[in-house]
Parts: sequence; C-alpha cells; structure tokens
Amino acid sequence: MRFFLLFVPLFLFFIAQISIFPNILPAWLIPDILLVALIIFAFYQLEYKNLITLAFLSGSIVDIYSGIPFGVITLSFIFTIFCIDLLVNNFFNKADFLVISLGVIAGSILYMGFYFGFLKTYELLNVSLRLNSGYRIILETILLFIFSNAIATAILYLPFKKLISFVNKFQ
Amino acid sequence: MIKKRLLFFLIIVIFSLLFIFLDSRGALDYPKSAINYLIAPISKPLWSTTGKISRLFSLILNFKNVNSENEALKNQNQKLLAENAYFKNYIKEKDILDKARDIQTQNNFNWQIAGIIGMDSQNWNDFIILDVGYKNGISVGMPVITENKQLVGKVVEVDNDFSKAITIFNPLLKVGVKTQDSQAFGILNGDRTNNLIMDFVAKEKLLNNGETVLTSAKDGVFPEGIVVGIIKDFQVKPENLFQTVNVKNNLDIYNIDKVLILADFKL
Repeated sequence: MRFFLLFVPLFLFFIAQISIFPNILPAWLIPDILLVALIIFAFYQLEYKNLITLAFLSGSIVDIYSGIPFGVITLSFIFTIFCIDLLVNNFFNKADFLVISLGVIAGSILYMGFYFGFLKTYELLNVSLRLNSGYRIILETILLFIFSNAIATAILYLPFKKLISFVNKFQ
Repeated sequence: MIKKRLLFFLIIVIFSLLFIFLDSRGALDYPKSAINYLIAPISKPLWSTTGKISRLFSLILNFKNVNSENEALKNQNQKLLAENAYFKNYIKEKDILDKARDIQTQNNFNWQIAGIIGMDSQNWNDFIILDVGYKNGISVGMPVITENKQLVGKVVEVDNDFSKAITIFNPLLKVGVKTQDSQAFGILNGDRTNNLIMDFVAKEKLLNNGETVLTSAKDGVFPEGIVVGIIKDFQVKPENLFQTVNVKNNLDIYNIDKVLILADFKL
C-alpha cells in the first residue's frame, strides 16, 4: 500500500516532467524530479526494499522515454539510490532541509557519474551511440543538472515531507 | 543487515540487466507500448495545454520585440525595394544603351540618352520634359527617338539642364514621311491620339494596309528611316487631289523612361 502511495505521485511527476516542464522551463533548467524525490525518500528512511524498487521502476519508465539505450538510467538510478541510502545510514541521522539539499547535490553528482559511466560502457560494448561530447560540455551538463535539482529540492522539500508523513500513517 | 541490503540491491541489478537483455531482443516492446498507452492520454492534453500557455506568455513577453522587429523588417523591405528599383533601372538603361549603340553603328547617328521626367501638364501627350539641356549639347530641332528607332518627336525648347520636346501626337509637328514598300511620300501630323494622319499622298500610289511608314528626311529635320507607324487605312476620293492615310502608331509615351536625342546625323 505504502509503495503504491509513493509510486503514484512519482508517476504523476514523471508525466509532468515530460509534458509540462519542457514547455515552461528552458531545457537546462528541467530537474530530474524522480531522482530528487527518491533522494528525499531515502533521507526520510523509507523502507529499503521499497526505495530500491521505486528506483528500479522510475528508472525503467524514464528509460522508455529517453533517447539513450534502455538500462542506462535504470542502472544509474539504482546505483545512486543505493549509495545515497548507504550515506544516509552511515553519516546522517537527521533530515532537515540543508542536509537533504546536500544529499541531492551529492546524489546528482553520483547519478551523473553513473550515467556517463554506463553510457561509456555501452559505447565500449558498441551497443549504442558514441559519446562524442567534449569534457567541457559534460561538465556543464553536470553542473546545470545539480543546479536544477537543487532548485527542485527547495521547491519540493515540504510537499515530499508531507507526503512521507501521510504515507507513514498507513504503516 | 548490510548483506541483506546488498543482496536485494544485486537482485534488482540482475533484474535490470535482464530487462536490458530482453529489451535488446525486442521482448519489452509490449510492456513499453502498454506504458505508452497509459501515459499518452494524460501527457498529450497536458503537453498541448502547457504549450498553448507557454506560447501565450512568450507572445506577451515578446510583443515589444515583435513591434521593433516589424519596424526593422519594414525598413529593410524599403531598402530592398529601393535597391531593386535601382538595379531594374540600371538593367533597363543598359538595354537601351545597347540598342542605341546598334542604331549608331547602323545609321551613323550620334545620340544623347535622356530621361523623360515629365509631361506637359495641360496637353498630356503633346510635350515631354527631358532631363538634358544645353550642358549636354542639346539644341532646338534635334529629333527624339526611342531605342527601338521609333519616332517620338523633336526638341522645341532647351534650358541649361532640361529640354522640352514636341511629340508626333501634337498636330503642330509636321513630319516628312514615306511608305516603305510603295514609296509614297507625304506629310504626317498628329491628332492627339495614336492615329496619325499622313496627308498629301499622291493619288496614283497604290498603298497597302499594314505597310510601314518611315521618316523620309524631306522635311530637313528628321533623318531617313525612323519608324513612325503602320498604315491603318486610307481614303481615295475622286474630288481630292491627294489621298489621306491613317497611320497607326504604337508608341506608348507613358511607358517610356528613356529616349535618344539625335545630336548629329546625316539627312
């Protein structure tokens, strides 16, 4: 029950991400709301299995709508959330706005690392398109990704906090 | 605890790799389509609505720019029109000069090119104002022709920079003419229309409708062989000493920009 209560908003956010944000925001400012949401969920100590499963499902849906080979985003999501969960369990014992913001920034860097790493692996395996972007462009992309996710965190921190509180009532 | 977490993580990763494998074999096409069917009914209207809202906002934001852009385009258009007119005029003038050079070569005429800059305000096609005058070597009595060697008239007044020419449509201008084939001579004068009257044509001359009428040089003003028109019809009356010929002239004075003034020629 709790899983579906969290998955439905994520699914709606995904639809917003593909149909609303491209029309109202410049491309470089569109955040990865699913990633931000999953990181916030991790900080609010969402059950581990649910969290990883949500990462798997969210990544798979994003993968279907992305132009890159299927699996890159799914794996990046799973690895990022796994790492964030490890960080939360070992280094953080509170979940305030500042901590979560730092967590989102760390998560965005990790995600981008995994993302380009998996893309490179695909390239080496000759499965997919070649990763031709220069390092400067990759760095710009990472910085903008972090920036847009940080803004999304500032906006979505409270709504997600309330959502988690609401979902926890069903435990 | 950590082992359990790691185990679950590995299971999910294996699942993901299985999905990747299945996708590469095309086995995930149906689930993907199902997700598309689920998302499309929601995302399509959302996309359309937000797109419209976004366009509306950008239209409002860009309204100021649209106005200035429109002004800039108008200015650019005017500039291009002016350039276009200049080049068209240039090409036209070149064409006239080419033809005029032919006339010079064939007839040994010396000419001065002149632009028509006006017409007599009261008698529209009786006089034309030209943009050349004394300074350009123009003098009274010089014949005016088109680049197609068609008679226009002759210069009657000259200023420093301008001159006035009487046209063949003016009844005051008398031109010595002849028919090309039957070699009938006569005197031509206008009646303020495109129909010119060739008078004093010998009765015994057998004329043909459509015959070309040319200047004869017998008036001592116009050189021989300048086209005046073609015979439209003619009347032979027993009581008259001469026959009268109606000559049709196709000169459209309103559509001529440039003319040639014959400055030096042999009669």
